[in-house]
Amino acid sequence: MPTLLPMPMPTLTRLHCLAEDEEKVVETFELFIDEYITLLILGNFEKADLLLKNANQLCLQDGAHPKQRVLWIKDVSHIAELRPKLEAFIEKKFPERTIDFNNIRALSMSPKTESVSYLIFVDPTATDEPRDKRKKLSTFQMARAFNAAIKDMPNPELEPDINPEPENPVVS
Amino acid sequence: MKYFLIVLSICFVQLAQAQLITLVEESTSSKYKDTIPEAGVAIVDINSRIIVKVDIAELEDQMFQYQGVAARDERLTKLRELNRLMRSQNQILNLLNDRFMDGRDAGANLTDYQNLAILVDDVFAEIEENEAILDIIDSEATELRFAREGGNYALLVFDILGEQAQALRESLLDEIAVDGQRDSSLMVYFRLGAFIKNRSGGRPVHIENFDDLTVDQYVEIERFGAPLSQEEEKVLIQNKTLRDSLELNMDNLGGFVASNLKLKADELFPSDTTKLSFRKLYTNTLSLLNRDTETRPAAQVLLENEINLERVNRLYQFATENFENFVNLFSRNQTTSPTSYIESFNQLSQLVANAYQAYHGDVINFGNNDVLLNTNGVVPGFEQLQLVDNSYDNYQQAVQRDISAVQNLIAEVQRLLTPFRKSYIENEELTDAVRRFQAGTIPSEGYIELKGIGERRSGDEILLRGLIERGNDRANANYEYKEIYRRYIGMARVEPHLKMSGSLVLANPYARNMAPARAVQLENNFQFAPSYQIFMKWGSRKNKFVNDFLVPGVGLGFSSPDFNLDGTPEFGAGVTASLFRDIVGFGWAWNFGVDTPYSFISLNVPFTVGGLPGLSSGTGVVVD
Repeated sequence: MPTLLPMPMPTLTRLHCLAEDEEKVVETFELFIDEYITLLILGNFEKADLLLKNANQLCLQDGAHPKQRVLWIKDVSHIAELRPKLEAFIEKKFPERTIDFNNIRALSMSPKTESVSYLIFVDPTATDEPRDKRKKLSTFQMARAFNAAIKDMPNPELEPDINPEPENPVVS
Repeated sequence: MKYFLIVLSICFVQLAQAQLITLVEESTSSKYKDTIPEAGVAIVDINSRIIVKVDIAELEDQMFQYQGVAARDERLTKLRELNRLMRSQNQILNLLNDRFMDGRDAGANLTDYQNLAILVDDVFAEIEENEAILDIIDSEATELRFAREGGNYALLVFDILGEQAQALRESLLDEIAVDGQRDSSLMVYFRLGAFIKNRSGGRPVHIENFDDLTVDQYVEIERFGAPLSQEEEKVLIQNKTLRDSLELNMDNLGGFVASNLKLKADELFPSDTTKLSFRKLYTNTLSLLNRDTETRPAAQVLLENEINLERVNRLYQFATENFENFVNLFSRNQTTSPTSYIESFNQLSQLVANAYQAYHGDVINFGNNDVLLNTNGVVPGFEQLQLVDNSYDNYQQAVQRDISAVQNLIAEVQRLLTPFRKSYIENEELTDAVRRFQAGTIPSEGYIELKGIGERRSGDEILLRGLIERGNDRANANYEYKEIYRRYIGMARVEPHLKMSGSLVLANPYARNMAPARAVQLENNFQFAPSYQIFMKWGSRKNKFVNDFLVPGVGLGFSSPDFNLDGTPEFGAGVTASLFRDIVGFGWAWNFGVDTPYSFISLNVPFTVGGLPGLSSGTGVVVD
């Protein structure tokens, strides 16, 4: 887009694409899952530019939670590195289901829950769950994934604090 | 059991979906908000707001079926599904506007984000169930549109659903097109109107979004107010003077019309004179013919017809009395239907005509009877019978003319009364101020602000009427309508409020033995004393009996008994409870003058009691 200003204006983005030569894959991933409502997209897919743009717009739209982020891990080696953790998160959410990790295109997570909220598949027809048969990567499914993660966020106002800090900590 | 509950809940959901209009009452402070039951007793507080929620899916379904589209039509099924998916559109839009305006975080907290996510995802989950709609939402065109337009994705989805629904509506409306033009006389509209119904009939009231009626005078029925301020009292007196003057003028006007009507009525019935001369002739001829054996057969004709004549006479009396009644009733402003009077005169007209025809026939037969011919070749008495026949004919024609004049007069009165009667019926007519909505333009929500409907009283009712109309011109032959919704909602003073009342108490100083010496000098158990009471009152949203009859209240009572009979009233104060519109109450109080307790029964008598000023009108100061 041409601009009248003498310097290029940065476009606000909530989309982070993990570079191929990224060294701190796990650290970056952990930062996202600790801090943000993350939509994790795995691997290459069709119409990536359009869908990633829309994924970014979902994070910027009116009513979007300020902590919504998209993390795109394109590289297969990076995915393999994160696979054990991701499988554990999936196992935590769906303990009774057998889910083919290779069939997962995207997933959403609430911060600090260490559990997935929503799954989007490469080939949804191959899943064993009838309700997942239409969960193919699209803006619609990404919106649902974010909604599921927001719904799963623990509300500190409603949940009792397990380890309340003393109001006047005693310094020994 | 579990399955039974599931089935039951599914049935309940189905029923809930079928409800065309849902009414919700919201109190002034918004502390109370609840759905008004679909059927049975519906009572709201007199100051509340009634929120009207329309099920667009159900309504448009009914509208298109009224237009003539088959219920099984695939387009109608799709339209219903799309409308159902868009049910929560306004709720989402309102939430976005309230909490997430212009992309700025307008004080939204996690609960708001979660509420938004729940609302949106409920709709999205339903969309995912519907393959055809999901294909449209998941299409590349939609993806490109979101990339291009941005904004909120859920709202974009609603836009797309709305466009799909509109296309279906257009297709359904094309069915009433003739040569490419839609016939406006076949167009189906929805209208929703509200009326306040009270003792004086009623008037339309405003429903926001559904009519162009102006908001009436803002009147809030005070909950905790002083009886009447000086200013209010002044206005009240002015209003009373104005009302009395208007009433006097109306009485004068009514009297003027009535006296003119009476004058006109007195001029009627010239047949009275004709009747007298005819009767005289009839009786004379009868006695004349009866004297001679030769003319006796002719007298027989008169005798046989006398029964008919007597019947006519009785009905004539009855009809004239009836007419006089009518004139008198009108002078007393009674608006009884004049139809019954017209009917009695019709009967009289018929009876007179028949009676005369019978006589006339008998006379002709008599004249043609050869057996009765005398030596001169004439039938004896026939000539006299013909004279009576002429007089009978005159009488009959005079009666018919009178009846016609009376009927005209009654019809004139009926025309005079029609506007009054019409206006009473038109209390429920939807005027042009009530908007007509085509499918696709119907607001999903409106409300009635009861404070904005002007004067109202506890016990008045709000009537809501929903109509589907074919065409918008009543004069058109195609015009017809169907009432699809009708609901009465009673208004009562449900929220706690204060009421002050003067009454009479029967005080019983039950602890006479424990009272100080000579404190209680009463010989009887009870002593009458004037009292003033302040009640906290409330009503019920479920029970009319409580609001109309029981009307409970609790409060404080102050009275001035004279237990020591020294001629100076003491001061007593205590707690009291009342029932039946405060007519009866009871309580306990302490007499501060003689230091003794007493129980009492209070009577709010609607008449003046000697020596007790302030129990008649003017003391029962009513806030409501």
